[in-house]
Amino acid sequence: MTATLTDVSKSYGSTVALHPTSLTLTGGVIGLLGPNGAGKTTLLRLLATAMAPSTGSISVAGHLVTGGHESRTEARRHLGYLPQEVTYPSGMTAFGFLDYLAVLKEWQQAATRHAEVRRVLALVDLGDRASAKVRSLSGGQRRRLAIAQALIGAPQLLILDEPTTGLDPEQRASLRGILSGLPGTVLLSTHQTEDVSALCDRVLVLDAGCIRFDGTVPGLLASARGRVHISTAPSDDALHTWKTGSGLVRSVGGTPAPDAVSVDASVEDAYLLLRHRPEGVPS
Amino acid sequence: MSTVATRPAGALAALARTEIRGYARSPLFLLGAAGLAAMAVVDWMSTDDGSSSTMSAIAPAALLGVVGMFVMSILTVRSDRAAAVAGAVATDERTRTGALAIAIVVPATAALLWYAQAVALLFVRPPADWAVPYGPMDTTQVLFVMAALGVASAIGGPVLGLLAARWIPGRGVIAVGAVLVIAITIVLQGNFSSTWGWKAAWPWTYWYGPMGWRSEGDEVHWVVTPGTPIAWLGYLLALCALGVLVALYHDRTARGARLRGWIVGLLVLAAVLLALTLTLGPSAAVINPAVAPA
Repeated sequence: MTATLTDVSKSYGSTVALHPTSLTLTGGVIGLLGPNGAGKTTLLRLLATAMAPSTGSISVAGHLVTGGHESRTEARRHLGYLPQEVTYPSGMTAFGFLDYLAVLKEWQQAATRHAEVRRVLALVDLGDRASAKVRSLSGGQRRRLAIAQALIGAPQLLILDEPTTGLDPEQRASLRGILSGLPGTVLLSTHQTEDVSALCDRVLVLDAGCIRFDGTVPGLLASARGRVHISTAPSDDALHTWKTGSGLVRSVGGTPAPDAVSVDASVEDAYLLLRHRPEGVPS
Repeated sequence: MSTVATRPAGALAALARTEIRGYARSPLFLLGAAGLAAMAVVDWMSTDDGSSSTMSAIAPAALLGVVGMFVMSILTVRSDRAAAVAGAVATDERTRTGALAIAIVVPATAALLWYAQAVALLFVRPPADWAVPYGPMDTTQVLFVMAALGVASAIGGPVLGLLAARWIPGRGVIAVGAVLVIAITIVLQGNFSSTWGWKAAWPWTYWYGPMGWRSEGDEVHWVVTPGTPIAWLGYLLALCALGVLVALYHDRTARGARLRGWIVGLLVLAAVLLALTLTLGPSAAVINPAVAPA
């Protein structure tokens, strides 16, 4: 399954949320990193057909999202989307909510629809909470319920906007297991860089509405090689420094202190360094 | 790979079944329907005051119609929120609106059941001479009035709820709308002579009854108001259909020439039926000379 953005931009009045961007997404788990306000949610909403771009064209599985109503509807049949913020309808059970959404996703036969609802409930470990009212679920359970709705029908393109918010480490690990086993394309926006390093085949870094990095996790790590140090004193002009549990200071970027030892960079280090690289410097 | 492969018509049918179940299981609807059933039982069991079932249409209007405004509003908000959780689903707003409109079959069925028993009661225990049928208001016209007041109101309430939820969503809108409907109904029921002119321009509520503004001294006489309820029922049903189409029109993708044509056509039909309502039938109120109980 391929999703393509061609010169896509989005503006809200005079504010440019996404500068003209071209991307092709072809299988695997793709991590989308970026600070708050970088345009991540805008990019995901555009791809999910939840909003129209100001310029450019988007296609999902060969169907032009920016084309007519029929083409956009056809594209929607191939994707699942988890928005960043979710307001649940009142008075519904977990099963009832997912069943209703499955109907909206055109699952007509009650028996197969119910089986699919039970499948996704089990996937997110909510099988035993099926008959519980949504309002009685914990924050993490509600988040998993929202993830479950995106998984209905095993969509070829799964778009997840900060899915791990509110999940405990065990639940996050479980979600990684689910996502890594999906056959299609998963685009995952997150602030959890460890999720990216653990899961993603490809990383996109978005900043101020522009793609600043598009490559593999090893490629992103390579961009930070030799720029993270540990020493007794912080590096000069370091972007970020903090005292570790061992009492030594970890410095990201800057000129290392004389006794500094270079250490392996994490995805987070690479991301922080990338954020402060002047525009135009190749990755 | 997605296992979903369906046609829009099938999607509408599946969603309509879901909305019908949602409406039928709504606590508000169940409460209203139970109240209506209880009132029907009381009508059959009580000592008759002579009016038979001719004045009981207020019950479905209130318990199915006004309550239906709230039920439909709740269902519409539920549908919108669920669709928002998924971000964008293949089932578009017009299909969801259409399915919600189809769910009005639930209060309509309940209203028709009420109507059936009300008609049966009318024939089993005919009204007294001081009531209706009288003069130009024959039995057929009484049946039309009862259908318009009871069945059409039970349909019109949910349509209003759908319309409001689509075009003016917000907390309290339905409550304010319900208060307005009740207030206007009270004012336009013909109890006040000063509303006579309004009634000529906007026939809405009662077509017969012990209207205070025609009573003389302590004697109460039933009055039959001008116009024809036969065209009026058509006018109300045309408004209901128009309301559904205007609700559908909220979805920008639905705004084609065909839908616009239907809306204009129904507007014209409603205007014609309103004109017929006002111009056909008796041109002045007819007073039953028999004295009704005070």
